[in-house]
Amino acid sequence: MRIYTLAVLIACAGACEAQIDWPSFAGDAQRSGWEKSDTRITRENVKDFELVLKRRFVYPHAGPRSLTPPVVVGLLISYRGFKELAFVEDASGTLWSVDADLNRVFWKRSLGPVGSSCGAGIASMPALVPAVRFGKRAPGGKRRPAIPGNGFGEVRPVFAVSNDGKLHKLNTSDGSDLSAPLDFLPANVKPSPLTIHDGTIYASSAVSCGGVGGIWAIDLTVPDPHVVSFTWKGPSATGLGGPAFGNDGTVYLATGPNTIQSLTPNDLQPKERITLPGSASGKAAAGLNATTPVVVDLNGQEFIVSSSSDGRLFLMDGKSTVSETLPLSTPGGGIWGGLSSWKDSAGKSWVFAPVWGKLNPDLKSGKTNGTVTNGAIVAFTVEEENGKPALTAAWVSRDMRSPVPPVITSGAVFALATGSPAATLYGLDAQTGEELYSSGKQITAPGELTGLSVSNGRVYFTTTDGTLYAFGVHLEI
Amino acid sequence: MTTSKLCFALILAAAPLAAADWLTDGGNPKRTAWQQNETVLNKDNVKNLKILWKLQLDNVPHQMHSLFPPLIIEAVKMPDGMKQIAIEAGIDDKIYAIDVVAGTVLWKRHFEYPPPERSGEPEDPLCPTGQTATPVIAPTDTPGKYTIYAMGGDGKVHSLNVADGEEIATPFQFGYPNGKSYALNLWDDTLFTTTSQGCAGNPNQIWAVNVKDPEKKVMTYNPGSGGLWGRTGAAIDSSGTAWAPTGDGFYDPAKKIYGNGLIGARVEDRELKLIDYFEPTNWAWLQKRDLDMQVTPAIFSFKGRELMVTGSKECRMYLLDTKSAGGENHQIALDRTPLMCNEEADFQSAGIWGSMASWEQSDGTRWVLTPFWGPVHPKFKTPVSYGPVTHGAVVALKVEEANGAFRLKPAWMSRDMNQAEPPVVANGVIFAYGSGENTRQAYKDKGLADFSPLRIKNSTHAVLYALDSLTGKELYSSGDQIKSWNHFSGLSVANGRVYIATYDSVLYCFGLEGAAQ
Repeated sequence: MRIYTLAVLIACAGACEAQIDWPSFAGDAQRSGWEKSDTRITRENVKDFELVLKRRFVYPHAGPRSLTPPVVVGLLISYRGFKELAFVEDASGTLWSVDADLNRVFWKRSLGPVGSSCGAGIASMPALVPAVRFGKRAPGGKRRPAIPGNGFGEVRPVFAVSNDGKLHKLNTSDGSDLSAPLDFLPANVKPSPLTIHDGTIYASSAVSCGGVGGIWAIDLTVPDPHVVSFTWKGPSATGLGGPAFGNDGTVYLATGPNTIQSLTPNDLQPKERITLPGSASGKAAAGLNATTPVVVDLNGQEFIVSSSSDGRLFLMDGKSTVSETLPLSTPGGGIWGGLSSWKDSAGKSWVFAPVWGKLNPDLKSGKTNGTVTNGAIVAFTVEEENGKPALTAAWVSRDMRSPVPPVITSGAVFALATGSPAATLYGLDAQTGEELYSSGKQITAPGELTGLSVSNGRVYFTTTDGTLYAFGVHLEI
Repeated sequence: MTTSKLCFALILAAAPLAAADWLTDGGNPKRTAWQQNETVLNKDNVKNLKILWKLQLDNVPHQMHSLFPPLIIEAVKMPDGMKQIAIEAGIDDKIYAIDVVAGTVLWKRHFEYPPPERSGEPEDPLCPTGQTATPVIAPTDTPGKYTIYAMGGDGKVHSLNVADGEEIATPFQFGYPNGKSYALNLWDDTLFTTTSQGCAGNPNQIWAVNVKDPEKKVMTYNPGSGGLWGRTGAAIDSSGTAWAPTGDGFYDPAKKIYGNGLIGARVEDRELKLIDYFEPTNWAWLQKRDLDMQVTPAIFSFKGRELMVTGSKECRMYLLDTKSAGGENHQIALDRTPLMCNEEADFQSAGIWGSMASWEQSDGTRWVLTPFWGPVHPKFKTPVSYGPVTHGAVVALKVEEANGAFRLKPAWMSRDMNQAEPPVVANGVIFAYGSGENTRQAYKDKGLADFSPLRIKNSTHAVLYALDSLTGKELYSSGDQIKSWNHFSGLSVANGRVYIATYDSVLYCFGLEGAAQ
């Protein structure tokens, strides 16, 4: 029995557990993949992980991103009780809400017609209003009004985009429209996951279908929301998660091979264009070395990390490169989709890269965990070298086939090897890369264009057969 | 005199006139809600129940609270002879003494005090101001003389003479002002209460004070939980241990945190000390879904042991031994039922709320009863039931033992009741009611909106039922005779009368014309 009166909040201070959201791809606008508050997962109990949720959805399209990874509302006080809900969208444009504890469909909502052959088969990951604004506000920056939807007990919206490019704001309680759909994206693009930051919702798309690549945004805090965009033509590489966001709201987006474009928040005016020194040392497979940047805090200063077309990682200060690594893989391999970051209890910043293929033998790391032939997670610490930050390889995980950007919580890194014949989830020690857990053969299909979500003791992902999985800490019901 | 009246008169003439009192919420300190001395009402005649009288009182509801279950003293020595009196407490800090034969007020007291500095939020049904605890009545050494212990909204306990309402001792501070105390219980001169929801910023704990202690030392035990909101407060076992459910919260015994459990505390060396506790193995699930352990247990003897039953909004019952609740690790019950309701795991309008009941059949069969709200769980079956249950029901179970193993065996489930409330057992009859209260706290379009005006507006009316205690068959329904609903109140039964109070501050007395003692 809880309400949001002062009295009950006082009572809750000792009794009510804060349930954690996973509001977007990689969990936050920085794209860190780091869940900072999970109290159910500990490094010690990762070895005891279990398959806690498996649900295959009825869907018309199999294949990559036939089902998005979920966003998760940790606590919705709904008209049917307290719920932890996972939201996934399938390639037919249906948004599913799943009671994550009971593995029951809470509601589903079709968002409209299946797209054309160009857009079909690629669903866009929905987004929630994040629980808090992250980072520091720019000096003198105007505080923007908050959009409702993350207060205790409030009606919470979930945002999803349909194949016709409309943005839908739905009630997480029943899937009904909270407002009329808005024109958002060109029809039938292949959008990145939606992200809400500081009251504005964003999605990007690589150049496809003979059209343009771009990023689109709608300021949701104004009375008359309308879309703004920044578009481009030519070679395109936006990464798995689309843009990342700096503390001041600056949008960082890989707009093409070796190109990072920064944009102003909300209105998407171009700021800086950073060109990475690409190399012709080898040709990466399609989609590799096109990463969503990750924003890393180092002693209060913000840096961006992204990859070049030859698989090097570059550390940037927002205007130019500061340092770089060697290519992480041998030619033919590369970094897939995005990067992750974490700050350990000692305050040291880490960056994690999912690498496909054989590792570059010249890349020396402090610790290895066996021979790598198919791919691995490579962990770097951000250290000061010659007065400037640099990425230092710290460990290489066990071999894994086609990993996606990992997620981190409670001193553990969770990595998903997506390759055929079936995906495998691994739990790794974040300091050493040591394997703490493997899902073995419990997953029965590969993953492709998926990602990991983590909240409240569970790690989620989807597979190409339209199945939502969660592994995690057993919760007796 | 009609034939039926003559019949009743003859029965009365032959029946022993044992005094049936109802001196505390739940009927006795063990909260069994079993009126063992009822002789007038029985399975054969309850079909003839009528409203003998209804009395409009001037109590003013606070939030959703209004009147509490009346306490009944069969024989009070009054200047004009012995009277049977009901003591009715109202949230408005009022106490009424009612002549149950005439249905009239004999005296009234209003506890007055300066407005406390702190109170609950406006429109918050969880934290009403005023007298929130059902009083308790103690006999004195003088036959026919009784003392009421009642706690005003300022947290002071008043000791009143039942005959005239006069204070017979100086009021003393027990709880915090507006701290939302629950039904008082009395054991060996020690008064117990519990508090919850942190109302007005006050702690959630078990409280005890010896009414004969000149210093009136207040003793407490705080389990670190969200609130001890068992409807009838703490139940007290034969050792004097007060058992109270702890409501929402975490379980971390190393830090002395016992949320979502049941704790037993006893006064030793002028301190209230934790004696034992029980914690369901799935407490984390209860905490996550707000399925509080919040049901005052019923304590009873069975085959040489003292057992108790409790439950939660999750909608399971637990059978526990008062000598070792939960065994060595405090988490293993003697038995745990399957889910009886609340398939949705909803925190509102579903699950077991309030308290339980227990009685012993003449052949030694021990029964326990629980109410629940909402639809029955589709997998829960009883040998006997009475149609679809969508709003709530009462379930009766037998306690059985074989080779040292105890179990709760479902026997029957009642008809559907609109928010079934804790039943009372009397002479082979189960008195139960659907409160008619709107218990919804969250809405599709509003989110969490647990506001009294909204719930009051959508509440309907209570219905009193009489059921066969062995089969659950409906013997009587008050239909639409009761015009209002109630919230966190209850039934009282004594001497041929069944009492129920409603939100509109009306006290109803049901009975048999000409038959009540």
